[in-house]
Amino acid sequence: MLIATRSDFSDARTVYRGSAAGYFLSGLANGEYYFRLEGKSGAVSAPVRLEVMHQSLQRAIWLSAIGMLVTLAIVLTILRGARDE
Amino acid sequence: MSSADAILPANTAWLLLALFSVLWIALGVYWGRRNKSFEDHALAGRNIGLALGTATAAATWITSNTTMLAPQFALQLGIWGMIAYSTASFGLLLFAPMANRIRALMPKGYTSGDFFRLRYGKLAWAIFLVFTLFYSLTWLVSMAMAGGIVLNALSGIPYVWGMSVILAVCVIYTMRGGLAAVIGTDFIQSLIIIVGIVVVGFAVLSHVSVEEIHANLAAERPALLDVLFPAAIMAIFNNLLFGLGEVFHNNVWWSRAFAFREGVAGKAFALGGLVWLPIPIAAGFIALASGALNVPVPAPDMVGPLVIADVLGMAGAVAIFVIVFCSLASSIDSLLAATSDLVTEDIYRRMINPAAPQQNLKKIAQYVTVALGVFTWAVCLPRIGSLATVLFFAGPLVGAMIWPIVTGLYWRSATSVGAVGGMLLGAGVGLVCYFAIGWYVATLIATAVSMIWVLGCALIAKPRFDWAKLKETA
Repeated sequence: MLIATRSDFSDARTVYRGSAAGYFLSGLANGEYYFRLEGKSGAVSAPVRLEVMHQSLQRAIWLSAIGMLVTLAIVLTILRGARDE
Repeated sequence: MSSADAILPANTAWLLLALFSVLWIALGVYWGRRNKSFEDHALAGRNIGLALGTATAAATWITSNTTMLAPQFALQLGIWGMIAYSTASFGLLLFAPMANRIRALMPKGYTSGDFFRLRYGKLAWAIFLVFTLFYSLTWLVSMAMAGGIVLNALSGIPYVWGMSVILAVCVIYTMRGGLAAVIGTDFIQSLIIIVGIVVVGFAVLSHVSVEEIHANLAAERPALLDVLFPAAIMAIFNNLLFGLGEVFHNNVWWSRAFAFREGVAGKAFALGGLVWLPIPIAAGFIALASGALNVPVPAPDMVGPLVIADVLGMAGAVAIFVIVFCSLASSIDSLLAATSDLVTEDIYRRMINPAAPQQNLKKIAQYVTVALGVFTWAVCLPRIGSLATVLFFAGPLVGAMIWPIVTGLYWRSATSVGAVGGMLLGAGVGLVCYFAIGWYVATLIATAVSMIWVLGCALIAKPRFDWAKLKETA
């Protein structure tokens, strides 16, 4: 299976070589990708276009900040223990 | 999956299944001989020591998710995904001081339901029971279902047979042996899982170096190494808070706090958390090696078994089968025991028959265990795959219970209005966010909303709770 960032496959590289019927791919950066299969005999499949767009980094950082605040408050409450007994 | 795709021959798998089934049932019956009362059955006589305590805390938290989902997290979310999954150990680490406090405040307590009833009254108790039973039953169903699916994928054993055998074995030894059997088998199961994961980790490293894995990831899956991978960053605190909510509220953990010998609970949970911490990291590392090893992964949830079988061949296939079987059994037995105790203590004893003698309560707990097993089996039978995802709805429910529990244990100013409002508002807003935004914010938002309400109520509250009310004697 070949992957390329140009539709003419001029920068293509092999992702997997073998006889598996399925392949899970993750971890691609933002951008456009093209895939195609090549057989041993040289037969080539039609290309498949894939666009990768990650979620908003700004939203992720905001949510993490809230998460850190809530977690810190929980940790401090437990470590501080009971004070008014 | 057909048996032709399986990584372990069905005959070998059946033999392993039979051997371990006989072992667990024999141990359950043996350890159950000493149980005379409900207290013996449900809390192992409140006399569990440090070694067994540590092992049961770690083993119960190593579910089939740890050995199957942690690699999937690593493959989908990269290094942060591995770390996000391992943050679930914070649940055990932070529960350590809480367990000491629980033991001191409630020396005669049985369940987490007892705490809600005595601390916040009947309405908060009722809401807690609905939330916790939803969570426990969906967890139980998802584990049993995962058992059937994974055994089928590994060995070609038909789904219904795999699911039925795992469930039946756990029901039999939990019913006969109670918590003592659950904790005893957890000890053996945790040793098998830890040794198995370490051997597999070293085997992977002997086939491919860390440098090769890194080079492969940098070239083909760069986002998995990216420090600013948005989806992975979002998963960290959502996962962490989900883990805290699960441990803080569930009777699986409270029953252990009550069962551990005095002075043991805190140390056992802290050590259990430290023992658990590297397991998802090791399991995740195995997944990250899949590209460098050129192992094709058709679906992310099968990455762990496929890499292990590729590296270790037949021995790896046997190892992963045994590890998965032990992970499933150590969680299903704990859930069965803790949920049957909750139903027996909080529903039968407190609502239906308060005068029931201890001997009868033990019998009721055994019947409830069987009933839970039959219920789970019936729900799992049609293999509705989407049912397992229902467990994710539980995120907002358990997140919303964190603050009522923490403040209820430490602050005299925590109120019933705060607890009831915190649970309902937190869970409600969290569920809305689950559907409106996504799963990755639901637990986080639920916990934050619950926190604001609970803290606000505690700030303006005049009454101060009398801790002696938690020391109920019967």
